[in-house]
Amino acid sequence: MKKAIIITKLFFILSFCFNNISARPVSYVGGWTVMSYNDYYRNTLLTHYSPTRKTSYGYTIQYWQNTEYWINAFNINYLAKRINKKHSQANFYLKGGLGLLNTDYEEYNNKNELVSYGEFSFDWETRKYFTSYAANFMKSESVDSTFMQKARLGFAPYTAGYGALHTWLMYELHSMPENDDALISNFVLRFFKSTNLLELGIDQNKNTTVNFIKRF
Amino acid sequence: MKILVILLSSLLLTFTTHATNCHKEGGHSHDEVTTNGLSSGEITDNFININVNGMVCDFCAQSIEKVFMKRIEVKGINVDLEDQKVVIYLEKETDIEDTTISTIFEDAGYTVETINRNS
Repeated sequence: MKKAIIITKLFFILSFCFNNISARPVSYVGGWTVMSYNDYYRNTLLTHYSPTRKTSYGYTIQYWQNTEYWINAFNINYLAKRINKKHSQANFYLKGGLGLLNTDYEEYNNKNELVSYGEFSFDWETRKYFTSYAANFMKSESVDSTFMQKARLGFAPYTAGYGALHTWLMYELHSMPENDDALISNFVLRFFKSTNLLELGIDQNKNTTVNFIKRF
Repeated sequence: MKILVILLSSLLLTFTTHATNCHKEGGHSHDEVTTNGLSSGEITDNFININVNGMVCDFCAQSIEKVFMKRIEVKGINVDLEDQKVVIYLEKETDIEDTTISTIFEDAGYTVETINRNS
């Protein structure tokens, strides 16, 4: 067990040192993207539009299940750096958002307040391997303040051609220090074909993840 | 254990699907794609070969096909992720400037290495 903890911690550190992320938060110029992320903690629906190759603007609706709050926010994503090599690509992103949080949780009675969040993330991928890391914070006036980190390692069991069904096996380590389970392992299967991406995951507590992305 | 079985079954299913896809494509081998292949539209005698850097993700590369196929002079396109090559098939006696091609690729997130025309 100790060995497993050391390995996971090592992976987390290595992931931090290397690069990472999931689908690009900045699309091609003029492109729209719709994303839905659903796990044990939250359900998120977001859409963004990329007016330039470096930026995208979007709107997010998020529901946190345990703390029963809704977030509606505008966000901006910025591609700080992209490194294109012959057989790999790396990206470094900065993200930020500002919106309204609403909750009925415990003593809160339909409370509304401002919420802000920020993130930095980076990724590196080839046709066969993938690694990503993201750290983000969320801060509201009085209801919540959260810091999260997520790292992923993935590989493609086969290399599919353009337009075919692509499959990735991924291991994700999710850190939320204020939770009882500060580190959670998540196993994710990623499929994509054309402009549709689906992720199905299950974590160590048998909670499921379902993510979907559509690019227009 | 049950979870492991589900994951392995899903993986097996995707391998089977991939094998089926390869079979359906029959004849579109790696070499054919770079010379005569087609991702969308139709093949013409007037084409441009573009070598690209960073085009590793199919999901993201779809934008290249989408943007080029909207242009009136473009009749077809082939995207080859393995060799990082894109072939643009054009209407007879039309052309797209190198700077325009480079801009389209950079807007989609990639870097153009070389551009070669068949004529």
